[in-house]
Amino acid sequence: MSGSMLYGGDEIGALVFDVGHYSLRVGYAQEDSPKAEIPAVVGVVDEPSNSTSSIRSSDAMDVDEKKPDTTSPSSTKKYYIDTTTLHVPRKGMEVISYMKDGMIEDWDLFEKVLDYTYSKCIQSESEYHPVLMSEAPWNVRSKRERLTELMFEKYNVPAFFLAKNAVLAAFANGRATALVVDSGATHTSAVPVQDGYVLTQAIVKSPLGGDYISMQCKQHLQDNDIEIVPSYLVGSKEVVKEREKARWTKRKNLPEVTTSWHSYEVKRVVQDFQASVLQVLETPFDEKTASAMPAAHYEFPSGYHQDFGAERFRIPEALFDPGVVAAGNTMLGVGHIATTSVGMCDVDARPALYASVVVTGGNSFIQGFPDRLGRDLSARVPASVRLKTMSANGCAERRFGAWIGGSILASVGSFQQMWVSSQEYDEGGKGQIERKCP
Amino acid sequence: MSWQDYVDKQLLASKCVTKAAIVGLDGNVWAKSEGFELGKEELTKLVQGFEKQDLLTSSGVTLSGTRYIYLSGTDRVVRAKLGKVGVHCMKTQQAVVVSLYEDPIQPQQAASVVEKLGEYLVSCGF
Repeated sequence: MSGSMLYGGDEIGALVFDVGHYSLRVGYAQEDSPKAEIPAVVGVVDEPSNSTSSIRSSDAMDVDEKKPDTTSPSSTKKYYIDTTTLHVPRKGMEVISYMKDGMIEDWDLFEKVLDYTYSKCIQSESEYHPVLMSEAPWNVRSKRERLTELMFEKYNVPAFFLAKNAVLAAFANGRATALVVDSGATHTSAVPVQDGYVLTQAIVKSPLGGDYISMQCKQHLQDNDIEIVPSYLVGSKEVVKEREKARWTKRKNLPEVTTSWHSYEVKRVVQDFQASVLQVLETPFDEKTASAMPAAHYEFPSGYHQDFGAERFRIPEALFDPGVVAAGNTMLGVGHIATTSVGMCDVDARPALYASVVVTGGNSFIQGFPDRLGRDLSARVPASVRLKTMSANGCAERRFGAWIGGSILASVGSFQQMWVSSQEYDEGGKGQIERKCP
Repeated sequence: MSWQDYVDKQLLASKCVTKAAIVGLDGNVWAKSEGFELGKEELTKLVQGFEKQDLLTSSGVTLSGTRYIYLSGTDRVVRAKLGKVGVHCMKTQQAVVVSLYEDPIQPQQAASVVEKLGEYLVSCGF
């Protein structure tokens, strides 16, 4: 059981995978940003082919091998992974996500993505690199065991470790004890971390995340008769005056695309709009204050452009006060989520948690998010409590917060004895993961 | 092996725990390492905590008068920590294996040792 890992010193070569709903971040430990960010959706084309290509490959093998090929449902699936292949319009390509509720749902797709990562991004064999993977704090035991099994059995990794992404985000901000408020694509959660361990009883999460805001934006644009045309459709466009109807011509020779892919492309346009235009007010939303703030100008791929005023504050307000957008909505705003979570913790732990509130996640990028959160918390918390929010200022640092924490963790000397080695896996089975990665 | 042997030769000898004890589900101490004083009320509360985690989340785990912050657990395992000292307990059929570990021992090391012993005891019917 002693740390017989020979991974000390400068040459570690560990890989860090940060699994999320929006993307999979992957790279080497000790680096300050991931090598690749692969969207967490895969394009799948179900080709009902005569399997001519697969028969050809089995030509060299036994005659028996051919039989299973022809008797099995003769449709091969082709997978299109990563931005270069995913964003090209293709006939019949469905867009499927392998994530659900913060955890891996579709294992086959995930395997395909991992294969792609190893061959194209890392360009090395999986058996040479220890792997540190992040997981949601509420990940279930069966999935963790399945993931461990997959990594050791299929990829033959020499060592493996599963870390909660909240803990990694805290480390990335230089803290072992913190309240991690992670606002991502599909949900926003508050996870208290004590000395590097997640207080699982006190995790609070809400489904209000980047995707929800995208939906609200899309609704708003549709209500205002703004047609969202994804860039793949636009062949050419003309310059129009502000708020004038766009004049563009459709690209020729477009293949017939599936609805799921088209909606994915539309969503990307909305996400770009969301990232450039939306802002959160420092005070709770008020029509007058919002109208007094400067407006932001945005041009869509179709050529349509206009200034956006009060609505660019109203939409993200939903994160902090869900009642604004849909009256009677009982979901919790971000400030509420944070205070509820701390309220569920040990009384002694609370001051330490309030003293380091870490804001992370891609959705927290909306301008004004951390300041507003800080203000909301100070309003709810008794005046005597010392409150400090921290959020990395750089673009990469907040979006890749958990990945950077993983990179830091995997390089730390004292971590080297914490890996689950393939030897330990052979001896103890997949149950070891529960023990070694609490 | 006597219960004291289990504590000395299995738990303490592994150097993965600094203090250990094996106690019955009623709170009676079957064996313990030197200087590890455990009150009966502390232990009965700990035993109840395995079933109802809410008891431990807000008030923590108290052992030898020190109150540790409850981290996580299942119906068989309880983990707690305070500064440099951590607690790892595992419940078997008739007893609870309680252990304390300090820096630089990693929680995983203490966990492996405690759980291995716990599983062995369960297989013996204890």
